[in-house]
Amino acid sequence: MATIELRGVEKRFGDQYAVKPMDLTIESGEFVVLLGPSGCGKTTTLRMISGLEAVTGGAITFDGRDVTWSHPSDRDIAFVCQFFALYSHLTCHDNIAFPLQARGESRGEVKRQVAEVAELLQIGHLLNVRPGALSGGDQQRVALARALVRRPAAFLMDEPLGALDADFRETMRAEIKRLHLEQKATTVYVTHDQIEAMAMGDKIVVMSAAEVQQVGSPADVYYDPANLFVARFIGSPGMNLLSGRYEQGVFRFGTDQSYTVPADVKPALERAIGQGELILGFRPEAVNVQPSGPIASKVYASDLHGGYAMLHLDIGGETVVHARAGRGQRYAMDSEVRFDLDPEQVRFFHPATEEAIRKEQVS
Amino acid sequence: MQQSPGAPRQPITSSTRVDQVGFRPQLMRGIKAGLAVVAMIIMLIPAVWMGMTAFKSRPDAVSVPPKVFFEPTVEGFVSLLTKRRQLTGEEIDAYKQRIDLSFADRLALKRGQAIIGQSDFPKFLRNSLIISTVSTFFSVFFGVLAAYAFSRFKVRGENDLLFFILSTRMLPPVVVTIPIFLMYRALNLYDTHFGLILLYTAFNLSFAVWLLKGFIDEIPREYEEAALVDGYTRLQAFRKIVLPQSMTGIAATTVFSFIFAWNEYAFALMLTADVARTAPPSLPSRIGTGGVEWAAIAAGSLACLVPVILLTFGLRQHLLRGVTFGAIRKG
Amino acid sequence: MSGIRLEGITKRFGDLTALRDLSLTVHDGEFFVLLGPTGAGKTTTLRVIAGLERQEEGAVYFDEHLMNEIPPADRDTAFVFQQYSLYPNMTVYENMAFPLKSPLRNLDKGEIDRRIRETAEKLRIGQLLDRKTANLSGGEMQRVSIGRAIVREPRVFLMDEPLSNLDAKLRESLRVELEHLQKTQGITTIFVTHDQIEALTMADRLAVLNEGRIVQVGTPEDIYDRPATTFVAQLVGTPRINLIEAQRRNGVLKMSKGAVELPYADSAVSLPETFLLGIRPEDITLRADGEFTGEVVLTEPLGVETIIHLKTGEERLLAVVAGTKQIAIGETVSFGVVTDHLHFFGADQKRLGEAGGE
Repeated sequence: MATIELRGVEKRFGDQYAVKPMDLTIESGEFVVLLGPSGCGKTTTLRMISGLEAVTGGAITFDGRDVTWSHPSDRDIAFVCQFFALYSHLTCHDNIAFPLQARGESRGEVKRQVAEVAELLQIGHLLNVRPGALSGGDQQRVALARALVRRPAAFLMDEPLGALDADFRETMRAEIKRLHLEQKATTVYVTHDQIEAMAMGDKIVVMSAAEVQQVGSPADVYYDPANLFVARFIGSPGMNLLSGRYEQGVFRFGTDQSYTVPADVKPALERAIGQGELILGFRPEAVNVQPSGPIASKVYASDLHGGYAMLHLDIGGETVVHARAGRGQRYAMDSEVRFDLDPEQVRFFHPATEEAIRKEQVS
Repeated sequence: MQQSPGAPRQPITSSTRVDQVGFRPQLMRGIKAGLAVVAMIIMLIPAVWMGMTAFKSRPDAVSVPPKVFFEPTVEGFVSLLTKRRQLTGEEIDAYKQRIDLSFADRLALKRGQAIIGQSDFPKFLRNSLIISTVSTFFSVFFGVLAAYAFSRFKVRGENDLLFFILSTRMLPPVVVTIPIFLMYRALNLYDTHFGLILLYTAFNLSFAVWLLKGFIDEIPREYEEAALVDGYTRLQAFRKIVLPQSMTGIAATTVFSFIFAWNEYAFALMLTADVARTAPPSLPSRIGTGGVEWAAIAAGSLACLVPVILLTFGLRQHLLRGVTFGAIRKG
Repeated sequence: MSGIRLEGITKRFGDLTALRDLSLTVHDGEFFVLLGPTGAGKTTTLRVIAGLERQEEGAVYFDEHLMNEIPPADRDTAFVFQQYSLYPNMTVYENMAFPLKSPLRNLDKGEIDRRIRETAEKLRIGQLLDRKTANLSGGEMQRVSIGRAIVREPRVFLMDEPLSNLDAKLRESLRVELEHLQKTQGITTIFVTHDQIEALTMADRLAVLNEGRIVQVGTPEDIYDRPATTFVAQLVGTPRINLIEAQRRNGVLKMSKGAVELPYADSAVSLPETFLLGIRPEDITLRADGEFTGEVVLTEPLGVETIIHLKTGEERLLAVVAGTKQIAIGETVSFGVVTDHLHFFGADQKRLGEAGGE
């Protein structure tokens, strides 16, 4: 297993960046997800790591070995893409055996290794079938097996679940993660689906507009987004964001609404903006509906999500706040609801730079 | 799919493989441009040569080695458009005294000829225009209706019918010229405009149906269905939604049909004599007793080329979208 | 506005039967959702109502009027398609004016203009009116499509997966807007989707379809809390319901492959000896004093909640806990089961006991 390092890696077309210079370390055995909307440069980054795309600047090393200009086949990687790319004229067994035969392994050895990997992926019963006869999920399992059987230094996966049905995706998501836990292979995984990224990644690299926005664990990007983009992109729905003014420890917004800022962030806020424009953010589960709450709202819509309910609360000024609530908490449209926020879960952002303003660490 | 903001708007499908990096991109671009220019020159030479010949005098046109620089003259056009008589020596002298000679007369006189009337070429050109335009109109009109029906309705035996329509194109025209000639004579269609219009429409229709069906298939049904539930009849939906949407296909079909009818030679030669004769068969008749009139032929060819160029140029916007056929942006 | 009734609709395409004897009542002013997987017959049902398809058997009523012979133009429905429905050669304004200019409606110019501007305001697309539709983003296009439907003030809205081509964030916000709009406008709406979240969140009532038949009709609560079959149970709810082979033995319910034994409260349903036990992941609660133990094989932290894959005996269970819970893989945890939310299904996959809805 390899440690992959990117130092100032960039991709430019003329004077426009597809990927702005980025640094990233992918530890040996780590599962790293490149996450972002389409066009953010995540696939280009993956393709540069694989060598399918040439960099226009910077260096890539595998275990300290500079591979920036090596041929893809010299990098000892396996690539799994959205469209399974299985050979339709070969049986699943022969598909999986293909990379081994290319390496010139003996017949017995090939058979043994294919059987082993087939068992791991629970596709033993499919080995004599041709891929065309299989469901999307099974095809992707075979594609994974073919990648896995080579025992490469790293797996690169480009939206491998993108072409599958929603419920299949959930199953395969867990399966790939389990596989990773067992194999501990260095994996770089590209997706635009934040749920997938949260569920699978040890480390998430959030990208947007050719630039890395934040690198962190799922908990980091969810609870402590580095900027407004990450706050909006992560979570379903994303973070609620209110624009307002900060004055003497109070956040004023909407039509004459106010919220008293938790005392421990005041110093950081005052250092960052003094008094003035500020953006306040909180996750839907930070909302506590209670009659004495400081924020007033009108129910815009309320709906059942299965195990819980969502309240969509109009706080005035065309702003609707999404709040997660118990199933019992259903309200008629237009009824008045007051709520409070869990102070632990309130976040602040600078309106101009869009960067998070975090409370100062007490040392 | 992934898109890079800096890249062209398509996803990156062709990748720069590391092992293929080496040539500098600028150099490659230069070489490609150079090759394109060379190819363009090779392809344009005949057309340019024709254009030049049309403006050459008789000796210049046949001179060996060919002249690239010459004194331009419209002699060729004059001989294309007029009937002339060879003058005797005395007559030439007499003519030279006259002061009422037109520009054309004087050009003819240079070659010892007097203009005695208009040639038939303008009439043939007009025939070509009438016949090609009318037959193209009918091909496209019926073609659109038939293609729409094939595309949208369940037509009984649809595939057989479509194949049958296509099969009319499989017979080489030469094979049927004699029977058609006999039929046309019996039906009094020989040497009539209507006769050729009928024939060209029949030939072009099969092609028009196939081409237009492809284009109409590409238009999502949802557009029409939205119009249907919005309170329009099928015919209104066809006129207001389908027709504007299939302009690309209609333009392409129009150009192809027109070019076919305009260029057609064999039938025009067999089925017309004088009244309905079109331009293409009239040109070779220039290769007559007085030697080959190269300048006149080139002038005639040029005259034949112009309408096609104008039509294609006029429809170029629609045609260009037709080139990306299949990638039409869907609302 | 109208109520809609389908009676015994059967629709075939060649050898394929798309709808089998389907009957359905949608009340006036209701937001009604048709939910089902691809090929279930949802879209066909909608197209039969619009008159774009003709059923072989059965009758379509708008209120008490039989619509079988009425062409689509005269049914006064508004159809919002999944995609492609905006006329690309027209501006947004012309698109919205198009249905109003129909010879059937014969409205004068001032009235048309007034209605378009009013609707555009409501949907916040006023700034788009002069744009060509080809230059709009996906979300803007669907907003305009909805606008074109609303501007007509039709008897019924028919929506065929209008959100499914949009990205997740946009889908969420349009969903809430659509829900709000329908409640304020009160126009009968039939909405087709394969997305269970869309169905649960927006519907007043929904029908679950499978293979051309209706499996269950009811409110979102009916469908989620008392699914009629294992198909419905697995279709709604994410992560998916745990379905476990279980036995009734000596007054306890025992998982065939797991170590979990639950008391049999025999009041509600009489159970056969073997059956399928359904437990929603949120009804498995991780707590220190839980009666059962299991090994954590996988965790999926989604932020707002964490999905935990447990192994108890040979049985795999999914549980959901709030927040981002740090639990090591391989750790043994204790858990409990909320026993009054259990679901029981027989060998025929049907619910034992009363199903929700009608």
